[in-house]
Amino acid sequence: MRLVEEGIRGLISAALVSYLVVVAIYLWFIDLLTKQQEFGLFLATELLAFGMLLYVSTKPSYRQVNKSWLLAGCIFTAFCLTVALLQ
Amino acid sequence: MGIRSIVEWFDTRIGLTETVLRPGPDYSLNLFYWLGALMVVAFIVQGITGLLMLLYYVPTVDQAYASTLFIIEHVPLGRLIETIHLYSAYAMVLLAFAHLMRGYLASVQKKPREMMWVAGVLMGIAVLAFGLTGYLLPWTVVSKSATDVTIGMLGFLPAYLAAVLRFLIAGAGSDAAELSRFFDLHVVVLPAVLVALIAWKMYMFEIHGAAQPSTGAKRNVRNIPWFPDILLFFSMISAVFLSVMLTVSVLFPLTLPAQFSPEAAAAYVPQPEWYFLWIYQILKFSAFEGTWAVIPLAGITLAFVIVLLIPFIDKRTERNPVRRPLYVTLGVIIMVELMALAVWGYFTPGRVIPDSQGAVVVGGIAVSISIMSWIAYSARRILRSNSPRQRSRGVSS
Repeated sequence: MRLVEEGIRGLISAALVSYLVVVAIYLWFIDLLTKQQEFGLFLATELLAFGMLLYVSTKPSYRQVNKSWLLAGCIFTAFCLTVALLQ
Repeated sequence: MGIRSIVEWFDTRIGLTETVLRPGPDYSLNLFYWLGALMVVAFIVQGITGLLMLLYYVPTVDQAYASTLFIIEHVPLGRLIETIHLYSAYAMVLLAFAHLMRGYLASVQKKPREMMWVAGVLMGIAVLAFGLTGYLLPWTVVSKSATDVTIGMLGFLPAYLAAVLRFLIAGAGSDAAELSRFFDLHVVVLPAVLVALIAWKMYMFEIHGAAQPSTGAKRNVRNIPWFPDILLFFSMISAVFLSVMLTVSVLFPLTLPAQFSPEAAAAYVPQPEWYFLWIYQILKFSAFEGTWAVIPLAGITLAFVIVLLIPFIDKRTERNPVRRPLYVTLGVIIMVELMALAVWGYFTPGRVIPDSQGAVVVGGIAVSISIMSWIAYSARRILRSNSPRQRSRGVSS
């Protein structure tokens, strides 16, 4: 059971790291004059994903990770991405 | 030679792991213990965004507005940087207030942390001064009109004191001198003052450490290492804080009001920033019109002095809010009054408030909270006295 939980934690961490890398590359190429809002929102999700990664990986076990916080982070990220894509 | 040995080389000579980076108690991994640190994060954001704006901003009456507009419209990320600078200033005010109220309710100001409280209150005043001086710099009709009202308030002070203060904060009297003086205060004097106060408070924090929870000294306190536990926790809350601030900055971007001119100012009802609205609302009470404004201004000054001296007034060692009904009730009353006056002031710009209305709102809030507090503390006392443990104590004694 513990192995499965730690596997889930590893998957979440890997997904967050992948997201951080992809968004960082995208931010590098974005036009800073015309797409300021998009830049700001993507950077906000980047920071939030970093915070979530720290939260998930610093808890002693996956059982101690509050899933509601993770869900709130995902909803916030989805909201930012939706607004950014609608710009 | 690995990284560890390099770190050890420095640590042996600087002693960081014995001072600022020493292990901390486990109960300090709590957001409420980090409000002051988040305020410092907001201050750093202010510094970085402020320096970036300084690359383009010109502090002269002719150029201030045009250069601000240029930053917003033509500089890459200019609008975002201007907005983040504004909202991080708001965040600093909010965090300073939350940190102060949390400290007050948890009684962290008691012996031996009295001077930490004094430093914190002085930092809060410096943050408000930051807001006041920075507000004028874009030279809009909104900022200049509100600042003129603030400078006009100095007229209620004794003449010699008003003249000295007016010269210190507004210069010789011309618009150019006023803008130049506010710019100097905002960019040089206040940052230096705030950095010095932060250093002073950090120094005292190193001596006294984090205060124990107010509900009683914890047993079995476990010390956790600064690296990685405390550093990662701080990084996590800072990242979330910055993320929220960025999102708010994007969703509600700064729009610059019209440039200041005497004609534009004549058609505008001056209103201060939201963190000064409570003072503005008190001054609008009809009883305090004209020269009578000296009474609330003296009262507000006295209130700041009392807040500064609270640790020397409330000397009881009791820290638990449950056993400090008077001070907790007073704190809640002040907090709610400030918020109510600010909201009220926002919705009634320029309107004189009848005394009866003012007395009903301000007095009503104070009386309602006092009654609610009395009921809550009495109910708690009755419940405790009827609890099985208390009754068994009574029988055995």
